[in-house]
Amino acid sequence: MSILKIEGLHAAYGSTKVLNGIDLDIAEGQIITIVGSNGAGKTTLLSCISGLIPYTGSITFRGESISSNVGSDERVKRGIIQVPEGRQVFAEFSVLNNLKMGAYTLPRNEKIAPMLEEIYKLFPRLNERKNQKAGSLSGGEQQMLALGRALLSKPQLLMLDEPSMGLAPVVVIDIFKTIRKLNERGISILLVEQNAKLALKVADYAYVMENGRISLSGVASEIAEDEKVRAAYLGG
Amino acid sequence: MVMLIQALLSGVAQGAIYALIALGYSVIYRTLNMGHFAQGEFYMLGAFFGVWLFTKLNLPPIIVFIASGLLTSLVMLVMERLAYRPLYTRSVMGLLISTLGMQYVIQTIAKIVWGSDVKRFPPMLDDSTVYIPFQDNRIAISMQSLWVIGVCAILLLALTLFLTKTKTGLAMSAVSMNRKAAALMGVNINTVITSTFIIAAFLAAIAGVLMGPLYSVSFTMGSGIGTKALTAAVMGGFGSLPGAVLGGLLLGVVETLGALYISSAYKDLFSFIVLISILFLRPQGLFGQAKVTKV
Repeated sequence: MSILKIEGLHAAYGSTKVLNGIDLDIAEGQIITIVGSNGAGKTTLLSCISGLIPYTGSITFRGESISSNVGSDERVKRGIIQVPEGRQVFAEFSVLNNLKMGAYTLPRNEKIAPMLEEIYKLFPRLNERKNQKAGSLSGGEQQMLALGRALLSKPQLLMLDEPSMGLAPVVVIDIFKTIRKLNERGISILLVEQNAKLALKVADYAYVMENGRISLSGVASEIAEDEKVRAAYLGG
Repeated sequence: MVMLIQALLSGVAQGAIYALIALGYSVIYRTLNMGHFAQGEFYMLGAFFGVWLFTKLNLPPIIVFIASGLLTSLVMLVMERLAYRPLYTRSVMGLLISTLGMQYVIQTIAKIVWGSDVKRFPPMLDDSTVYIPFQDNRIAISMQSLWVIGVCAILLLALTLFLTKTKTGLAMSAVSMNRKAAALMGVNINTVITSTFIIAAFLAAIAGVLMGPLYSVSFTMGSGIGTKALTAAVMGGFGSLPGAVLGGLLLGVVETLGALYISSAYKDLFSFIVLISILFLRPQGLFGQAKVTKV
């Protein structure tokens, strides 16, 4: 069963067309990755799904169509959660307040203490630093915080934009292990990643994006073997 | 010495009023990165609503304060929907010009509704003077100043608690730090912007009701004080809330002391000299953070 289905999606910044008819399907419980060079439109696609920019075409989430004028807050309530590129933590807030912001759309009577415990179990480092300003954390810790914050929003579909960007290789391995773990708990994942090698290794299914179009799609392990993909994204 | 203490006290009272309006500038600047030029007019509206509620409807002072604040916020709500909201998705310059224009729209509407004559706002709160013995002299303290300082302090405390302890307040700070991330947490950005404007209007209106009885009420009373409060906000570091309060108090005290020891004719000059000196030494203002912008 598909959790998210996109058909004929178009989007533009002013007169510059960025997405030219994207078709994409995410099966429930899978990890889907989108690989593509800079400027291919990957982040724009995530912005459309999150409702940050207007689009034409259809987005269907759990069988319900979501038109362009449905606000980002409504989408978060339905479980479409994005961890944006560059982490985007609230730098002046403490780690704890950042996490609380993640629970913003949950009903007031919902207890977040047990959820916080879960997050701290997953990322013990966040517990150690919960009263520290988020801006003072290292890049890897900020990525953990961004992930933890997103988990408090109770995601059904978790979209990750370049989670490995600017992180040390050891930390990247950690983050990807966590992504796997989250997927095993039943969260469907849409992963946008420059590090195509790693992304294709962890994903079930992959899309290759070029100039606002999907140029190739298939089972991730097969895409990783594709000669053109190897030449363009995996360094031969 | 007695003169100095008295002047300091009335300077702090005047400064507290500047601080209330300056806070409005700063909360709006934090969320929208823009100066709200019509801010002073909400001070004027508060005073007019106050006069009307107090003299025509004979309501008790506490109700006059709250009702004036709410009515003024309602005007802001309507104006935000009609003149500001359609511009949020465009360049900030358009919005800025719109706030400049609204300054004159509100002034003109006030003139049509309440007329262009100066109105007297009878004292609402205790307007007696108390004397405190000091050395071999005594200090005269007007109860009005104490009320002004007290009400401002309560509002400051309430605003601080709201911003740091409530979910909505936290969301407002989150939007000011990172709008995209806040939207991705499910914060409705437009609701936050509207609340920001309403807080700004409410604070300015209370300032108007407080100051109405000390001066008089007219449709032009907002623009002068609006400029002063903007000065205070910039001095303290535009967008910083503690900065707005400190800037306001500093401005009030400098003006009063300047008037006392030099000449009251140059009252406005002193505040602008202080502003220029601060901007020379600390361009980001007293509490502002220097922003490094990549180009």
